[in-house]
Amino acid sequence: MLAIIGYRHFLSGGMILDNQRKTQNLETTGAPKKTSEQLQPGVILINRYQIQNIVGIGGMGAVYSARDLHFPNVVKRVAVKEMVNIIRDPNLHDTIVRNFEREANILATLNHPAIPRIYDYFSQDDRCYLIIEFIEGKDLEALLVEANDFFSEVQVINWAVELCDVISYLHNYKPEPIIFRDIKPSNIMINQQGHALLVDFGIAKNFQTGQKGTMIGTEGYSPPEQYKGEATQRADIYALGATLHHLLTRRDPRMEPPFSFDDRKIRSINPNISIELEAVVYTALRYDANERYSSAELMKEAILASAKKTGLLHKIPASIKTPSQEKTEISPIWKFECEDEIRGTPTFSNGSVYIGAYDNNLYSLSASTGEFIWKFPTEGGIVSKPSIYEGNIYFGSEDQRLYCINQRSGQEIWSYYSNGPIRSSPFIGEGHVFIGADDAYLHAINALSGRRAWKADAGAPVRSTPILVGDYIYFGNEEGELFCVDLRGNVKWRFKAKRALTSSPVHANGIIYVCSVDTIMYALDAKSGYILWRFRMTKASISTPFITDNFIFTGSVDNHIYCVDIHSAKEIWNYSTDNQVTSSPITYQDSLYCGSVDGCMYCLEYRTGRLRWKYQTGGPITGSPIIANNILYFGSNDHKLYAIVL
Amino acid sequence: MSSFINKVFKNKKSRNSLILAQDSNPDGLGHDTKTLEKISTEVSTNQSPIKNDLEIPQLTVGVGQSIGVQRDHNEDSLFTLTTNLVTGNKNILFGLFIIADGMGGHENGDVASSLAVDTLTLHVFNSFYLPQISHTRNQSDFSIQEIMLSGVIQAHQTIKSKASGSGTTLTSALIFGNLLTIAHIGDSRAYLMNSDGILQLLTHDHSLVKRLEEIGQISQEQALTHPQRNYLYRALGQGEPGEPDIATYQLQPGSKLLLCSDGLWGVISDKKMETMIKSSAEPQQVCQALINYANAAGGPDNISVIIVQIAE
Repeated sequence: MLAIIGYRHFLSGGMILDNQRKTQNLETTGAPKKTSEQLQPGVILINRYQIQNIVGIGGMGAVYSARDLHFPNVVKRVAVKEMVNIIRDPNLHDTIVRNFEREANILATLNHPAIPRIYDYFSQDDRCYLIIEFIEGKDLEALLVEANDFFSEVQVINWAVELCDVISYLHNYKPEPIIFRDIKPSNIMINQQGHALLVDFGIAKNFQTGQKGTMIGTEGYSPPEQYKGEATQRADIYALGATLHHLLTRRDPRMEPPFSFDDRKIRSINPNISIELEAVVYTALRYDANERYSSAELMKEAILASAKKTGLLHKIPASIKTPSQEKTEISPIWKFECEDEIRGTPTFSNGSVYIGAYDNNLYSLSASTGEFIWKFPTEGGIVSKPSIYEGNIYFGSEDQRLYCINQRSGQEIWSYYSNGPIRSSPFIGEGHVFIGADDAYLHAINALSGRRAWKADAGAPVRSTPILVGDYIYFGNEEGELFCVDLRGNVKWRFKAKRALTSSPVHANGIIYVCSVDTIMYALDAKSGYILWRFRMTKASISTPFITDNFIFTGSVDNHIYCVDIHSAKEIWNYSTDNQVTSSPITYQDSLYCGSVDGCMYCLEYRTGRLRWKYQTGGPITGSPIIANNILYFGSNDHKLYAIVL
Repeated sequence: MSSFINKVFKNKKSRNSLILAQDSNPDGLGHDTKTLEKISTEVSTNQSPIKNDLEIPQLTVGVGQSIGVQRDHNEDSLFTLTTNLVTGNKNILFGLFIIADGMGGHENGDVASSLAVDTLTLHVFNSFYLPQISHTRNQSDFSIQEIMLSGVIQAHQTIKSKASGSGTTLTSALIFGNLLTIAHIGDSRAYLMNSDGILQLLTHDHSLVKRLEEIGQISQEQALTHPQRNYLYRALGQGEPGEPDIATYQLQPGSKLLLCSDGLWGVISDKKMETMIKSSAEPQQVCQALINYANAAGGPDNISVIIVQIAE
């Protein structure tokens, strides 16, 4: 049962479909063997065109470069487009030939610098040939593959304007408009002067019928209404929009669900693109054809208008390009300055905020006013995040000790000596404090007495903060091992990443998530330690992941904050800050908060990664923010603790 | 194609082994003439849940396949396997379930679906299961999702080289402990019913019409009669190896997993399937009832169904 499908009927439409299931075929292979017999180099057609080599192979024939022998003294190259007519039914066969000739006649009358000239056409045996101007250059699909980076906005705008011009020429063609119907990167050639030309007017493909299961390789660029058999000028507008989207994002729409451009916002993939140009592209990509630009001229005007604005914006630093989204009025309700860097994360409890600093003190401050309540001096820097349990506060210090302090008075209740600096934070559960130390042990200490219950040998410093889930404790070490130990400290399983696990594990639904200096975020089965998925970042991560809905967020030394689908490990968005992100993100309402070594606290829309505001401090932010009573608290290496009302 | 392997404890739990020993009867359920009402009442006879006294998590599997009423050959393939490996220090529950719905009419749709199932099964065995029991796994080098991904890509390449021009859907479920990982491409489906009794669709049909419906271009009614309703924008063996959807979910005691081809979901509403699955604790019985129902409703396509129940 063969399907006759033709979305690309150039001048005549119509399609016949059968009831068998099909998939689109992105290649144009699969034609009967006969058609794959290409002309060999040296073959001379009608005593004039000598085949040189094959430029491309399509479903119904091939395209060759050839030499025009009518110019014996110079090498005049032409493109030879071949259509092999394999239809046996004599009526259909003749119809195909007639269509070919009619369309060739019309194409021959086109005269536009962005359309290759057609010199000749003829039939020989069962093959039809078109002789076309040979374009020295490459098509945009090839250029996309070759390029390692995004095309610049200016570059894409230049091509887009030229394409609007040629589409406008076709749409205004008399006696009747010509709808190209197949605008896509592989049909756009960029010549040696850098100009865009529209090629492949579908002569060959127009007859691409009789093949099973193929849906023609343009899916992804075609508008929804084309599947209802409609194609107007606005179909070309959509396809141009889809092409521009591909050029700006480097995301091939044929690899994505149909009509899913909205799910891949241009600026979330390529933040360098202006809001204005993004808006133009999305107007062209509206599902409802009536909401798109009504003509290529209008689209061109919109692109040029965006370019004017962009030209101005170019002189302003990229970070200020989005003034509408940046709340300028963000200012802390209070700041508290201590005597050295704050690298860790504060804790809120009972109206107080507790923070350790590298001036060796743990501070207790009024959460509402920032007023100093007490400080507790240790003999080393404090990066450990304090924990609260039964009115006491627990934290480690680089003086190798774990402290238990009375929350109200700031008086020491007990301290516990490990044999190495403590950078891990305490986790309290089952009446015990679990904390790692640089002495390569995980320590379990009775929370009330301060006596050690046991310590588990981790073989390398433990800076990651342990978590207790059910009857098991999970923590990482600086050699990349993640341990699962029971409440007696016996190892149940261990998992080895390639480099340090400084990030702390988090748990959700039977899965442990942790980031490694080996650049990977791992999802591990909590029961067995088996890896469910890996998410790769560009550089190391020591940021602790944070989970909200089906999203998992983390930061990386590659400067980015990532949002990843927790089930499939697919990146939802990433946001680039100007320096390393070692801070761990948190979400609150519909925002995500995360610090960066660039000194800023970022507030992003957590579903899209769009910047809401950022607040610049005087030093790197390495710790994580916390939120209590609608106030955001975070420390900075500028020695200050900040409180911002949300 | 159907396969069933299970390591069962030969002790007082002989009841379970009886259930587990039931195998499917592929193609034997094809032309049932029972009315829908009769089928519905029959399903609800057995209400006793399967208890797991051993405290070793187990999977009970039902499986069925039918050519349908209107087709003259079967292009679906399926595979089921459950194993328990229990030793002093470990307890590995493992299950692999695959449904593939071949396409391409007379162009080797059955070959494609069978190659897909064979290739993925072999890959999961070699890359995941055998290393588990031979203590050779190198931990950080593979993740379950990556193993499933490379298995799907291998299946794609195998079909392209051995059955060029044909294609298939592939919906597969790997159960490891209490985690379920789905790898999916095409329009076969995986559903999960947790303790809330709601049949939740886990997969997303890769069909053009589904997309048109999602973006509001056509209505649900139009989708049913749309000339391109059989078009998939992703399938194995066709075009580029479009990335399969892969995701991991947590299973609860008593969870039920349903895998089926469109021969089933195309003719039975989700609500009806939910009712029928809830009505019986015997997966095999439900499979049979579902297939009978689909055939009684016209049986327009091949039907494949797998139901996996996690013991309570």
